[in-house]
Amino acid sequence: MDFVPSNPELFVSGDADGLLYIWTMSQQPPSYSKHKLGGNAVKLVRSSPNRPLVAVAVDNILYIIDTSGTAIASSNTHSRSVGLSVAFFRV
Amino acid sequence: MLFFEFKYLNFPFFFFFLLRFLSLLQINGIAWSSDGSLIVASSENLVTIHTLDNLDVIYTDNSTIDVVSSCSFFPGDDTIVLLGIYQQISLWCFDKGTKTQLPNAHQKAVQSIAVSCKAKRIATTSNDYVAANFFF
Repeated sequence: MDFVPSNPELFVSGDADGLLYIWTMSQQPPSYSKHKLGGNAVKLVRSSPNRPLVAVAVDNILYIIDTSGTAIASSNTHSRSVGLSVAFFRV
Repeated sequence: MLFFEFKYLNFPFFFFFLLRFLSLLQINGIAWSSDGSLIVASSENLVTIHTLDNLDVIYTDNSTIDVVSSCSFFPGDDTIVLLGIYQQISLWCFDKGTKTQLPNAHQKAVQSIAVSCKAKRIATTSNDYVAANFFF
């Protein structure tokens, strides 16, 4: 999870089901909106230091999300770099 | 003709290799530059620098022999990326293409890196149960 520096009342978190939660702390109890991203589990969430943007890593995909939950851009560069090799082991 | 017999398939090893392959793909570190214009992302065998324009990749590095387990920008210099690897922190100056190592930072893999631009400090954690603090 991470706070959003451009809006101190917000923080973001992710879960193992691939959902991104944007929490509003100004309300009691805190409210949230949840957004489904493509992929299995939200691995990392990092807020931009000066813009209302959040970088989210889901499996091998990097997303840029604005604080309304809209995906602005995505990149799956980390999926193309690995060559697959499988070895069978005779027992 | 290719014959395939399931009895030759050792399932524990097969799933080990499958999980290992999937973990290679997983992004294990992302960080913003101090001005918010760049993002660094790392997986075990690849580090990429992205701009905010459609997340275009402007620099990549897959020359690190050790497994990369975390990344961050250097405090106060957005052209240098800190990479957490086994026992060391690697400083990658991506616009010059150079790398230097900060050896003996930990006994095991560096799992996370946090930086303070104001204090010019780097904090790291590792599988060796030690949190380290470096001042530049």
